[in-house]
Amino acid sequence: MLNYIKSDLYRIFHSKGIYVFVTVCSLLLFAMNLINHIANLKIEGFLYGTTDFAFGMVTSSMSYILCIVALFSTVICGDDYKNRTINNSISFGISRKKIYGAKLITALLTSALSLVIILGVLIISGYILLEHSNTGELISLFTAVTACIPALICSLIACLTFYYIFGSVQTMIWGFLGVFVAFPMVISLLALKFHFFQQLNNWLIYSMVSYYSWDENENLVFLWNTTDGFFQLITAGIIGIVIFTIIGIFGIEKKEL
Amino acid sequence: MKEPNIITSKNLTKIYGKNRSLDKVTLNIPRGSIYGLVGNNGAGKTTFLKILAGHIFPTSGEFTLFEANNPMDYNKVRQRCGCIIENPGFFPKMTAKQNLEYYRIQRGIPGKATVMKVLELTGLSQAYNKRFENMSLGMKQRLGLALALLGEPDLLILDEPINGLDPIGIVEFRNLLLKLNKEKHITILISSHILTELEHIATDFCLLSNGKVLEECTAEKLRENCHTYLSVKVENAKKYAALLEEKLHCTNYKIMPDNTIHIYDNSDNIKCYSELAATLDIGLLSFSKNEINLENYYMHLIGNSKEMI
Repeated sequence: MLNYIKSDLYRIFHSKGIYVFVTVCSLLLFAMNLINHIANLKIEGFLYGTTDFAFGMVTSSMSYILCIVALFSTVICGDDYKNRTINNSISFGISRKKIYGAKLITALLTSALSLVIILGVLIISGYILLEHSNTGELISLFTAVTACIPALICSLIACLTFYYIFGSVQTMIWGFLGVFVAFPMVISLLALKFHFFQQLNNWLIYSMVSYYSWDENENLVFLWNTTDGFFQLITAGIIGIVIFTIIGIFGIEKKEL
Repeated sequence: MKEPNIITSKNLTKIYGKNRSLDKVTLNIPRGSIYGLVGNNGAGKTTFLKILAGHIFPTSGEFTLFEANNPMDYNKVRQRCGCIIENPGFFPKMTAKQNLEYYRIQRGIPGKATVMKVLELTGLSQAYNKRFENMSLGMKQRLGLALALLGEPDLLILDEPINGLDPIGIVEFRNLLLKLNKEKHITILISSHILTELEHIATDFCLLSNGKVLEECTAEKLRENCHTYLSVKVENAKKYAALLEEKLHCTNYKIMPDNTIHIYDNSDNIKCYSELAATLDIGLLSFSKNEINLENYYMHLIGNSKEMI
């Protein structure tokens, strides 16, 4: 499996995909900070040129980040079925389980590296270009990211699982959108009427990362801002990781090429 | 003494829905041979090779690959195989060298120089820096062979590898296979839908049609089988056919639309057939001994008599 991981890292770092992904995400965040910096200089009383706002933009967009992870997984899978490269690996005696396991580990390693770079660009450019809010914005950002990491890993694993079971990027994207976005949306509507669906909705990742309310000072409060919510989100993420990993292992074992 | 078999299959069957792609295929591939798997499109060649390579699973039956005969051990021995099945699969944006390097790392093959060595062996050393997507079909096939040769395999499984090669490429390819078989003692299992493509290199043949084995034999035996046939043109072909069966117990013949009978049994025993035609006065019009090539022999086997000769 180690050799497969090494070869996949070799492929990923010799392809444009990951560089384009990380560069685009980093540039967008940098551009946001730069525009806010310019606006700070040009517009008197501009409210958004602060680190609190910049980091808060990421914190409040976790549901979108969940979807961006699906895009990232296309970089990892390398369209193995379309390119028929998985056929070669299997011909060489690498088991389907090892391929799947190695893909998950590669996905975790590369996504962790990408996250560090992208967040690094956001934080460093934020502190260089913007007004320091000093309201604990960095801790808020890290709390949000920490709470959402299992959920993000879960969505990454789910995408890879859909890909290796269904065999194409299109079905992977549709599978992900169906299970992670459309299904929770339907459940959240049903939750308005039925108690059972309300309970279920409380454990769906998309609903959890999308949830917010206001406190008495009209500050946004996310699920991870409460201790119970923080651990609930982590627990849901871990349960999702286990479920999709098991589905993936058994699904790929029966997959014919 | 005949070498032990490197691959054996017993009643190997693969069913897709209602379609039997492989129907109780039993065959033995001797170690050190160049084994030609021949059949028309849909005969089951690729299905058989895909089962060996682990791409698909058999519905029933069993096979032995090297010494492995259960799914747990197949992956271990597959490390000793090099395969090209259907079109060779590579990452389109990566160069020939990068693609091979990817698989070299994946298979844990030591030495970076190995990649250039196989590229050189397959005539791609000049194109090492070319992206796979920009390669011609012939170059892609060569790269597929280079991949199959990576790691010095004991068994090569090649599915119609000559497709897309130009005439010079075909000759080079054949010579390379012969060299690998002779010098490195690599067993080669090669499929083709054109029997004559393999005529000059294969030591053993298996003829497949509609998922069934029509015949498995050595190249010598195949040449013997299809060496000659008698063509007898008579006025009453049906009567002559009845006499063939009655007097000479000959059943391996075909009546052609122009009242010619092709006799595939005992073609050397011309006298008996000519005497039978002459003495019983059934209107012998012509009598000749003809050569039959491998292609025609295969057509005869699958019963496509109209297009046969």
